[in-house]
Order: sequence, then structure tokens, then C-alpha cells
Amino acid sequence: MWKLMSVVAACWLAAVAGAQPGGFGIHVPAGGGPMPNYFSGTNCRASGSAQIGEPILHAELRLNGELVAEYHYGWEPEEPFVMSTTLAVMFDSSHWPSVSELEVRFWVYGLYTQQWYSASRSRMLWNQAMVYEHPDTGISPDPSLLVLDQMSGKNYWLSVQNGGQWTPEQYFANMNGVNVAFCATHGAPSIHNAGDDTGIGGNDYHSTRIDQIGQGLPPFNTGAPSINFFHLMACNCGVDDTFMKSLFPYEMGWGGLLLENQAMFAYKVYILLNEYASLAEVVWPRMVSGWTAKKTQEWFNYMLDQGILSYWAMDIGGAPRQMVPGDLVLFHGPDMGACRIKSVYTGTNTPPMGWYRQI
Amino acid sequence: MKVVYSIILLAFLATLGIAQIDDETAKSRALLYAERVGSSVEGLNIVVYRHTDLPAISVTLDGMVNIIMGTDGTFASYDDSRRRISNSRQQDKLFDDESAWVAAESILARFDTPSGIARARLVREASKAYSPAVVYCYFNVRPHGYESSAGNTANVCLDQNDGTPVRVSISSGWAYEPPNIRVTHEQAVSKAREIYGGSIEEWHSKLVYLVGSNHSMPSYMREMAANKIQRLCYSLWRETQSRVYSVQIDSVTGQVLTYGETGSTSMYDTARSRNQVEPHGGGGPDAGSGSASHTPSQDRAGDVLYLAYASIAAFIAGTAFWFFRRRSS
Repeated sequence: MWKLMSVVAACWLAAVAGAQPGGFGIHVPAGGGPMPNYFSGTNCRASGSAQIGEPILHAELRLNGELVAEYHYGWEPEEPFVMSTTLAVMFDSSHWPSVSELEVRFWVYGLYTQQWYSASRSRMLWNQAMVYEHPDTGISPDPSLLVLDQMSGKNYWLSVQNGGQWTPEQYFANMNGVNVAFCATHGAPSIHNAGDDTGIGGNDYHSTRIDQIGQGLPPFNTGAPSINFFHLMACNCGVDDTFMKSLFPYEMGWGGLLLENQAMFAYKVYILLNEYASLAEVVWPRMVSGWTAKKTQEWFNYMLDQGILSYWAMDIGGAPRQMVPGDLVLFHGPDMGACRIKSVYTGTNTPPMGWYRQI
Repeated sequence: MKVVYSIILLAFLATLGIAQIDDETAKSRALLYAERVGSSVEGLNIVVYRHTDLPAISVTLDGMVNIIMGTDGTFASYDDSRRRISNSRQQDKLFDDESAWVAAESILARFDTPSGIARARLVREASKAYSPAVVYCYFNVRPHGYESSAGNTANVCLDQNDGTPVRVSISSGWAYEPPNIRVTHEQAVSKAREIYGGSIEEWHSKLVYLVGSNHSMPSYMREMAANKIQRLCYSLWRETQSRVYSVQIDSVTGQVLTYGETGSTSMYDTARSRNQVEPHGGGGPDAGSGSASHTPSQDRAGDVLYLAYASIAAFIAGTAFWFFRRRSS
């Protein structure tokens, strides 16, 4: 009798000790925290937690049925039972098609009842890329077609404007909801052209993104997701960080580093229109292969150094010269350009490691 | 029998030609190169990655310092992506060009550099949101007295504030054909005008050695580049109100090698932002007359200011409310 009571007491103590935010029950996300309004980017987070009033033998976190994290009681001598458990992952939303629903389900198996229990919540996946190109016929071959080709089949919803007199209004309307952007156009240090040659400045991006993000911080905001990656292919737009304002609001709702998984490429020199496609070709295949923006830049610089690639560049007021490291500028946050558009974000510039990781 | 020996000998030579260092050697070379650069990496976590599309090995030290070397272990580049924030209120260590050149040269002195490299171009880059102000020191050779911007080079990028090396790269092994100029300046300009028009006076030209690996180069130039050989060529350019035109012509054969145009120039003034942002400084990130404009760090500062103003306003409102309630009662 005493033995039974001591087991019950031990379980009660374990339950009290293991009590966690969210309390009794099964919670998605863990601890009953706020659920994102959507899943977008390679740094999405999903989690679950449970406390079911009995020891938990197994727990599984599944995304659309795919097992991404699990816990199993080991039946080792002296191994204590757990009365509550939490599992969490970071994942790449483009593992599934855009505008489809993702179900996050957390399963647990109880020792006494010998049953599985679960809870789930679903949200929309939002992987969208916009590809814009100025109608100047000198931009040939078309970089937009190359980017389109690279992004095809990658579970991104693509919006393309190749040529045509597109206005800033059309451009920004299309930006609403994208997390990856490419724009090939004419530019100067703090301005670039729309298709109708109206100027677009950093302030335009800033005010537009304020409207599009809405209330709150991504992914708990009422509007569009953050832009993770923007490649602005235009002369001199990388002279300063004016166009970094396209990355507003620069932070995620869960805190952490500013500009998490956000980066932008631009050029601080004049570049030739007929080399746009070739310049896009050194960035996009690597980005869609899961390399970080920083690694892509390192690789590009190496190719320039070794003379394996060569492009023309001009400094303001200077003569043509061959492009050198430093001409392609990477704008980033404290994660030092670790942004990825495929494969899970790791916060580091390591090789791609797959579509999810436990956190 | 001779044939068999020849095959064996060729196979042996081929094996030597593609000799690759192993991972352990790559790691030790990377640590050695980092030490030569003056880097403070601990080397606790070392990842070796062999490129499948290049004869190169990347070694990442502590997740943030990347060293690329040839498959034979020859140093190619050092890239430090550790975050640096300059909090020093003192004057930048490399505020003058000479001190930057000297700092760069002291790093390069610890490596095998191509013979004849000399100071070529120094570029300063202002600090960005999460990058310090840096200074790029580009070293080139002047083969046979002519300009060359790629090929045998050394580039050093330094933190302007404290002189920390951010990026170091060395490229060598290039050969330069002796000058064999059979095309005159006038003939070259004439060919450029055939493509992009303009008067003779509008065209500038100079003779430079070119790396011919550009995708639109003729095949013989790309082949030369693959064999690390450069040829002396005419580089011609013409600037108009809205474009810069560029043409490259082989000084030996007179063949047009590449040509192209930019979409805008430093005189760019046709387009204006809807917020009236001026292209050159007048309406930079903080000067827009339209909506508010801030970089991420400025936004944080803005938030703090907003909170301070809101607190003061709330305090005044509260005091006024208390005062009026007291009077009415």
C-alpha cells in the first residue's frame, strides 16, 4: 500500500514539477502560445507540448503527417518518467506547395491509458516569389526567364513581369505576399526605375511594406510575410543601404536577431544590361540549391578572383574594368547573410541540411 | 610494350595532376592561413567541403570564417563573416590611405603573392546596418607596363576602424602575352562607332590585359582564359546623358570581343522617386520628404524615442486628469 502511494505521490510530484505554460492538455504550438497566421520562409517554427496527467511514453510532432521530431521513453534503469513533453522544429515552408494548408499535429502516448492522444492546428503555407524586369530591350537575354526557370518546381508561387510598362503601383501590389523578390532594371544610388521609368526609392519600399505588413510582427501579423531575399539588379543601387528598407519590419514576432533570414543583393557599380542574365545565373542556382546568400557571394567572389568568371563593371565616373570582389554587395543582419530560400534556415553559413531541424 | 608503359606513365602523371590533399591536411592548412591573416579563430569546429563544380575546397572555421583553397591546398581566399560593431569613438585606425595600404601589405607579406603585384586601387565602403566601414585594397600587376584588373591579383578588405582583416584573396598563375599591337587606336574607335555610334572625340580608349572568361567572349579568348593566358585588348567607352557604352577589341586581330551598355549613368536624373528622393545624397535614407524612412537600427532608436514621448505625454495627461478631478471634487 505504501509502495502504491509512493508511486502516486512520485507521479503527482513529477506532474507538478513538469507543469508548464499552457497547463494540462495537448497544445499546438507548445505551451498554448500564439499560432502563426501563416507559414512562410525557411525559418518557420512549429511545436507542440503535452501534459496528460500520466507519464508520457512517446511523443511525435508531425507536419502534414511527416514525422519531424519525436520522443521515446527508453526504459533504462533509473530513467524517470516524464509527465510533460515539448517538441519543436524549424522548417522550410517551401517543402510543400504554396497556398496549401499545413497541419501541425502533436501526438503523445500515455503510460496508464496506453492510448495515443493528439491535437493539431493548421495554417496556410505562403511561398511566393516575384520576378520583375524593365522593358528595355537592351536587357537581353532576359534575367527574369532565368530566375523563373530556377524558381520553377520549387513550390513557390511565381508572379512574373517581363517587360511592359509596369508602374510602381503594380510592382508594389505584386509585392504583397511575396517572400522572395527579383527586380532587373535601371538604377542609381538611391533610386531605380519602374517599367514606366517612374523612380522608386527606398522610402517607397518602406511605406509600402508598412501598409502590407499590417498589425503585429511576422508571422503573427495581420498582413503579408517578410521579404526574406531580394536581388536588385540595377546599376549602383548597392552604394548604400537605401533599398534594405524592402526588408521591413526587420524582425520576427518571436524575437531573436534582427533581420533573421533576411538578405539583399545589389551592385555598387554600373553593370551591363546584356550581362544581367549571366549575373543572375551566378546567384539563383545556388540560392535555390539551399546555399546561403553569404555563401553565394563568397563563391561569386572566388570565381571572380580566379578569373573563372568575368563581367564588366564601372565605378561612377570611371572607365570600364573587370568586376572584382566587393562590387556585388550583400546587405544582411546579425546573422551575417545566412538567409536561405530553400532548405531550413540554420543561422549559420553551413551547407544546406534538409528541410527541417529540431530546435 | 612501349604503349603499355606510356599508358602507365600517363596514368601516373594524370594522378599527380589531380592530386588532392586530404581533409586533415585541408584543416591544418586552413588554420595556418587563418594564423597568417592574423585571425583569432579557435578552430574548435572545422567543416571541410569539397566543391563538386570547382577544383576547390572550402574549410569553415567556427562556422564563421571560410577559407577556400585549391585542391592542392594553395591559398585562394579568406572570408571572415563574424559580426563586428565598431564602438570605438577614436579615429579610425585606417583613416588615411597609406595606413590601409601598409596594413594590407603586411598581411600579404605572409603569403606567396604573384610577382610584380603593386598597389592599384583603394575603395572605401561606408558602414551599413550590420557591417562596419571597410576599405578594399586591390593589388594588380602591370604586365609589360599595361593595366590589368583581373588575373594575378591580391585583394585585401580591412575593417576601417581597427584594421581587422575581413577578406583576403590571392590569385596567381596567369601569363600575359607580350604586346603585339596590330590595330591602331583609330581603327579600334572606328569599330566601336560602328556598334554604338558617337563622334570620334566622344570615345575614350586604353589598352588593357583582359581575362577572357566572359560568357560572350569569342571561343579563342575563353580558351586562353581556361589556360590562364591574357591578351592585350582595347577597352573603349563612351558616356552619354543616359548610358555608358563599352566595347572591347582584340589589339592583335581587331576582332570585337564584347560590347554592352549600362542603363544609367552618374548623370542619371530622368527618374524621380514619388517621395522625391534625390539620387545623390540629397534625399538619402534619412532625408526623404515623404513617408518616414529608417534603416533597421534607426527604427529601433525610433521606437525608443516614441516610447519616451509617449511616456511624457501619458504623464502630463495623467497629471492633468488628477488635477481636474481634484478641483471638481
